[in-house]
Amino acid sequence: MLLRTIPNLSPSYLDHAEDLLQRSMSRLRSEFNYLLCDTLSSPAALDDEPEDPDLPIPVAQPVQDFNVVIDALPGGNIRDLGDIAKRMAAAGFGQECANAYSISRKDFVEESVSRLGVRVFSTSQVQNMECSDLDLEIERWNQAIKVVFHILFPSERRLSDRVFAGLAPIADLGFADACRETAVNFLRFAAAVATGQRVPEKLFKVVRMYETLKELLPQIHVVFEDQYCEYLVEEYDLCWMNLGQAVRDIFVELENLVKRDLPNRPLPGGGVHPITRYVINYLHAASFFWRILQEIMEDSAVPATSVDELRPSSSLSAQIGWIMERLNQNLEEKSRAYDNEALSFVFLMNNGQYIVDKLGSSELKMMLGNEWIRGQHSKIRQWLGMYHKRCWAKMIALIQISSEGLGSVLAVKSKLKYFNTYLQDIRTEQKGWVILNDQLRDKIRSSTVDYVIPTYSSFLDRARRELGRRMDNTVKHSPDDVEACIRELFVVATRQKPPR
Amino acid sequence: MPPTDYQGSFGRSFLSLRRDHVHTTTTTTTDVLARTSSQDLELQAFQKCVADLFIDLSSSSSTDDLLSISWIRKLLDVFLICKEDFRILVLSDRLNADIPASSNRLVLDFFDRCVKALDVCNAIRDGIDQIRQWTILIDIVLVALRPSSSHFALGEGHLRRANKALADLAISMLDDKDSVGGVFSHRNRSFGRHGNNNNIHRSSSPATRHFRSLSWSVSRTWSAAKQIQAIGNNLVPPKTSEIAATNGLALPIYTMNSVLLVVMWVLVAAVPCQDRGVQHHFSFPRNLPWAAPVMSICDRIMEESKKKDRRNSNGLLMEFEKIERCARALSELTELNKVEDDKMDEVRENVQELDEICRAIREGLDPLEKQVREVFRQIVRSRTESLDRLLLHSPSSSSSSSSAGTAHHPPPHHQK
Repeated sequence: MLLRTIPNLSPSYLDHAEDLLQRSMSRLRSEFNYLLCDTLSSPAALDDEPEDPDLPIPVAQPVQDFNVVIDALPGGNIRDLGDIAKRMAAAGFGQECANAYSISRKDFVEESVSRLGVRVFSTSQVQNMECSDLDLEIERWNQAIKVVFHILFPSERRLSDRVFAGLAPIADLGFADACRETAVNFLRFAAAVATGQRVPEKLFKVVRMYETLKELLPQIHVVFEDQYCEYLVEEYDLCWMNLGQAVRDIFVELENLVKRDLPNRPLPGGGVHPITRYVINYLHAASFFWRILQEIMEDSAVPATSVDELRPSSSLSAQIGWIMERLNQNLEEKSRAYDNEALSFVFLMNNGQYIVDKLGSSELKMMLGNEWIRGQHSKIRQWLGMYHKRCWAKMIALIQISSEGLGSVLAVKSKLKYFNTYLQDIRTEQKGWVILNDQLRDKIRSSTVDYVIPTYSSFLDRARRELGRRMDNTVKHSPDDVEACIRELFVVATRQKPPR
Repeated sequence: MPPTDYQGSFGRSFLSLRRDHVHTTTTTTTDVLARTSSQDLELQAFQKCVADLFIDLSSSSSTDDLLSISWIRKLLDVFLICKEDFRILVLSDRLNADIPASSNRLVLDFFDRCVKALDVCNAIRDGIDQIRQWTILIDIVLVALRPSSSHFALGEGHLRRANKALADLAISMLDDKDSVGGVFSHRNRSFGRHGNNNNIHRSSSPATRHFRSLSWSVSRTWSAAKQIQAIGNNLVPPKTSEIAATNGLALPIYTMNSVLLVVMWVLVAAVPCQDRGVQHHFSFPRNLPWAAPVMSICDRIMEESKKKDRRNSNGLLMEFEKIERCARALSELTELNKVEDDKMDEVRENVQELDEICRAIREGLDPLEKQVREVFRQIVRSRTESLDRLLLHSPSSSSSSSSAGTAHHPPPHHQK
């Protein structure tokens, strides 16, 4: 030690001197402790700050609106602590010094963090938490981690650098011991959320956590660059990656959810199915984060989650396209549950139109692309055609004038009678059917009118021409009547609001 | 099924037991395995692999070695290998092609135990951190008591310094982490007979400690012992019908659950963590080839924990016993802040030994921590990657197992 470097000192003096040194170190340690604790009990320490204008107490760059004041040590205390630390380190008491320092600062850091309202939960607790509670905790975590990593840790880093100026390893050790556990606790919460259930509702929260960790990334590398904290950086990266993986898995889970949504009872009236509303609204909400989602999706080096080889790529738009594909498949399966085929096409049209309507001019639309939208429109047209076929074709066939001409009066009369019965049946049958979109409703009505009326008119005209007055009592509905009848179809029940 | 207790009385070696098993076992579980298909061979190979690993571990660990840091590391290696083999087995196409829906409940149950194990891993890492703090205090003792030249005597100052560090070490080693009541009630304890409480003080104010304990630390109600109980909860060997119904998958899942339980139990037994507990009743069907070596390890650890001087220790790691012995001796030798000349050799010997242990701990601790992290990572991996596939591959049936939230039904008008 220091004294032993003095040459020609007699052993007994040396022992005595050594002993004195040890005793004085013990005193210094007490003083060091006192100076550290002193500030803990008097948090108004900031008042003393101007005493040392060269080295202002670090309060990290303001983060958004976090209006947090750190109770740092008074400048005078820091100077004294520095002086003591230098002497203690020189006498080989560096570890004691760092130990005393970190115990005191750790308490301060932990107290500060708990003032931010965050609490420590075990993984099991996080996994079993009610959704609303978890949301709340994630929100707190999001707020707190920013304050801690932007303000608290850098402040502690600078404080330890000042107290142990020129004593880098001790400064690093003191800082690490004071802050490590807190940092670990923050990361553990994120890890617990990332390993939890992949329910679609969690997406938005997990994405926010991912974003937060991303935002803090540069900060981490600055604050935790030393040997004692190195592994924290690694841990942090891993945690961040796990959150990204969780997001990707949640998308897969959404897809599974659609796949598993089995057709049970068909929705009366053929309206928009809850699964359609759910998926579209969900994706719509998700598309607000499309930039970050895009980044996360493209980040997956290993397409570990893609359970299907047919999945085209890992990009976000491909992912969303895939989910929409699944949704359409699922809706088609569901449409088969209807006894009435015409109604199943009404159902498909309603859902198909709802999807197109909801896309509007959103990011979601952009991601699906114009081609997809065109495809969707053409599907709706096809379904409309199928509706005509299943519902009205029989009537048309009835009144279509064949090459053999009209036939007997009796035949004409019976055809018209059947026509009227069909029409009546359709009116009764389709009473509860809905088309939610006004334009689509108009379009279906008009196209049906176009499909039915010309044939009907020409049938009537020809019948009148050929059979003259004998028809008078047979024609119950004029073409206008039939058109009016068609235009009364799909009257929206007031209970169901049309989509926005 | 009866536990393996009386197997030892036949005086058979583990190896012969294993051979017997492979060729002549007669019990129901293995009957199912006796079907000869490549899938069954794979399942059998997994059982054998687990057995081999534990036989090696059990037979290669002497009394000195058992529960040392290096032994724990071997155990974790065994765990990681089992885990990887299990993953490959579960992912193998042959098995994957026709995973019956009936395995869902088993898979979810396995996930559940895995999540609990993650908490144990976290607690163990905290414990490792705590051990690291001890080595810092030990360093101070070593610096204070290690004379660098022959003429150099231990002055009162040195002894005070050493005593202070020894007292801090005593508190740290006897206390449960963050148990506030404990800190104060144990304040006056030390390795010495009378204690040196005049030197003991922590810098933090009681109020701060209290505040902290309520919030920013592991929940005070968290208990490693209870966590182990939870991991072992309802862990029963699969019935023959169950094995058949799951294409044999029930057995490797049971095996992996058991390995997980045992490894977590050993970690909690060895490393300081909140509310440790060693008591646990293990029982594995003896016809499974790994049961005997695993039970043998558990029994030996249980015996160790019952030893008089280990009953109250903060962890069964072999190194702790030595630290405690040396520290106690040094504490007694130096408690009067004066060492008689005839005691100097004794001091020197203890310092020497403490130095060696401390160095060994320091060398072992970092790799150990890395390994615990790896265990954590692998558990997460199986949770999110391999086994999720099983659930995904089995359609609709998962809606009946809503406990893991896989079957989530959308609200009809969500975010309208």
